[in-house]
Amino acid sequence: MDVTEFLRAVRYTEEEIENEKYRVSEAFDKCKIIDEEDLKKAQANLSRYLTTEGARRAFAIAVMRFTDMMMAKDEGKKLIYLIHEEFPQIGLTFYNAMGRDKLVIEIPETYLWLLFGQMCFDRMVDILEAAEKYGMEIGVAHCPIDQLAYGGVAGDIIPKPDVATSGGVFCDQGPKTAEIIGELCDVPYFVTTDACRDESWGSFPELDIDCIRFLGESTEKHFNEIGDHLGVEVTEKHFRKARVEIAMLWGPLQETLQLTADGDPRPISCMDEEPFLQMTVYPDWRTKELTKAFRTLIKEIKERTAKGEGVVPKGALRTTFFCDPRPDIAEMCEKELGLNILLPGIYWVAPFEKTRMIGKEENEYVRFAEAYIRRGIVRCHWDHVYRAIECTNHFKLDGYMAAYEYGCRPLCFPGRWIKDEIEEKLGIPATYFEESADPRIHTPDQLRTKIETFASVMKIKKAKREKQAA
Amino acid sequence: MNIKGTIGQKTTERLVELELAKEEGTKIVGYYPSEYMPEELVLAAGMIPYGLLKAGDYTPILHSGVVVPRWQDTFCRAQIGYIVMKDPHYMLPDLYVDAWSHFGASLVIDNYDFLMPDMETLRIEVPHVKNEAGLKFYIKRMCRLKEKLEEVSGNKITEESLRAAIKVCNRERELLKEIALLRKQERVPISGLEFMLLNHATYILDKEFMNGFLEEVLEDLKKKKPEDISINTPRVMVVGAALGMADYQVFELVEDMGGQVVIEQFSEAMKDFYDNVDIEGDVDQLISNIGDRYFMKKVCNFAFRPASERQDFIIQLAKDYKVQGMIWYQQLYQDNADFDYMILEKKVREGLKIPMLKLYTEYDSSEKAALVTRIETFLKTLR
Repeated sequence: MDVTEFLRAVRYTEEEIENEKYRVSEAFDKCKIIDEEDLKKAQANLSRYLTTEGARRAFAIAVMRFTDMMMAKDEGKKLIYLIHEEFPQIGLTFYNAMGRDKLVIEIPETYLWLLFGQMCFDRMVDILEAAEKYGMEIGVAHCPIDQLAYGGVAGDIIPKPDVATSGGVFCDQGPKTAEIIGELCDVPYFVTTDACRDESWGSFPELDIDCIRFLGESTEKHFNEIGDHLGVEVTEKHFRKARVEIAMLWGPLQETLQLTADGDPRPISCMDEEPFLQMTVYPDWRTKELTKAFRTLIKEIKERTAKGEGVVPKGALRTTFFCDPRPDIAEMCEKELGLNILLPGIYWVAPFEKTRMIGKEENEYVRFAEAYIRRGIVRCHWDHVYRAIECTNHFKLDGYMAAYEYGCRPLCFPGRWIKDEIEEKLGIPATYFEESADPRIHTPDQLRTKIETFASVMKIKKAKREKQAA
Repeated sequence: MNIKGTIGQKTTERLVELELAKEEGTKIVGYYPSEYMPEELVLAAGMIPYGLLKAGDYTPILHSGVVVPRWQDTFCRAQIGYIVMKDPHYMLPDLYVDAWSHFGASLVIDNYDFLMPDMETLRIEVPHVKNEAGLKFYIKRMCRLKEKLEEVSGNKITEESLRAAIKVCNRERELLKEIALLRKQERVPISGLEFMLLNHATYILDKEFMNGFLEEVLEDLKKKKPEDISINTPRVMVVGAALGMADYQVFELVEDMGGQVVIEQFSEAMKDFYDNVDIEGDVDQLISNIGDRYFMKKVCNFAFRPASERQDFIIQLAKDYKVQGMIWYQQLYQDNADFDYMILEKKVREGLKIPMLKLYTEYDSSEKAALVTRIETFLKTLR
């Protein structure tokens, strides 16, 4: 399979293509569901959905990571999967402890989502169906992300790992998916990190010290268990370094979100942000590469803003999807309905407003636990609501669409509460509905009427607000 | 003995009894039946524990749609639906306690807070891994529960009151266990449906009455002559995530078709009776003992990580009760339990080598016809 043109489309350099094309080709051969037609289709899809060079280069990093994952075992490396992992610091910590020569640590569903989704190969359904074939029944509304991870392994689309692990801090299902991969595919698995969020309703941003310590202690134990299994000592220093490396990515991510929000008309498509959102939350050791891609994207945003270029009309209604919208839905919103879809969701870090509870004398894991929980949207429905209100204010939204992923339990619940609170406290319209990365669940037109109607409501309310202000 | 009649009559009278008790100043503690909310502490505070576990009716499912997405565990949606509908049982508590281990169950208390902001509530998230850290966290939460109960009731929980309450609850568990053990026999003296009626009654009826009644039932069952008890086959085990009160369709169908439900295992809405709380020590020690029993000794919930202890426990029960076929009865959209099923199914297929049938429910009466066909066919394959 000649991957040269595909690699050009995702902005591999000519040198990278020369060095890597046979390896990439082998990686795609191994997954068995990609052929030359898919490569051509991917090029067309990338052109359809992406408007920036930065986003294409981010896809190149995704292809590099996918290739490393597919080839790890052949290249004599241990392969570790972080399933639906909420804090990828685990991966970087182990890279810091063991180096990159001996292992590949990946969050497989990230690539399966990005590369096999509509923006690229559009073969996600094959993987979802593999999960269903091996037991994750479609009628139960399993989370598509977990289905991708399990379907990938059970369907022999991605290699069976040497170790599977998951945190279960944000969602119950990650560790359960690691558990079925472990038990049904005969893979050692570790699911020790645990979080309990039982503060009283409405208390966030106040935090409970017991919840913080419990998460910190269980995280440390989890790291040590994996370290023991791999025969490596993991220190706080390794973890600290991983935190810093990841923090370096969140800076450009926040800058991107803010520049995009400030640009009128919106300078880039929300789909241009998508690979960056995914790979900042789920990075590997290529943080410098990703930062470079961020810089390219930021430069493009600034240039377009300066020229007054955009992907939606100037003054377009500003709203958000809570979960990342499927590319064809995002396309409909931007190109057909002319909406400015901002994607702060779980990716936006609100300014911390409270003094920290955990001092520097405490260990790195407990300090991390506080920072993680304080970010919000962690196993607690009220903090979703709180952050949604902040986000609406910060990004000056005209309306809030609490659109949640079909099957995503932690993100779906607060929809009704978000609507009531935003409408009551801010006088901004809000709505909630489900959407899905799984194209079998609904078509863009099935959402069109909901979004169109909501756009009309936003327009009417905005006009009223402007009239009152005048 | 007419178990169904007696329990039916007492449960009907219970709402009135509790309203009268409230008028006299006794506080009612409603709780989600996760099996992680110790009734012992409630009783020790001079309050009445009241498990809220109604199920099997589609109407509350429809009502829950006002506040939660449809793909949430049917049992939890039912609880939310009853709150939306302002069902008198769900409006009764002075305090609602939810000790949950999965998102669906946490939604129940969220909806109390959202829909009934004046209701006193207490949240406890149960750790998901059985280890020392989890136990420590759970015991801390038991201390928080004690404080809350003392605050709402105005009564101090003392060593004496707590020990007495533990004894009452231990006795209840012992009696349920003794009755359950009788079901190991070839001639099973009590139907699966009757056993579940007794089990569910322990969530809502007065403890003194309940222990007395369980003793009577036990004596009566022991006195039954073997020749008066028919041998019903096949011997079936029913397992799943939660079995709400009145959600008895599988039991009724299996037993109406001549089979016998000899044992069941549900993590929620089924009183766990296998282990007791140690009664030695002062108040702090007794609370630790409660933590030890509820978090460590008791078989874990399906949402634990991993849940292999529960799967192995189910398999051991199936062996002990000479089960010929297993029915997995699952609420629609209970994804945690679905993972549990996937692993259990493999263990049953490879280790136990007995047939297994998976059924879903949304508490919709239109399911009945399909259930009849599937259960009938399953029983035929076992005969």
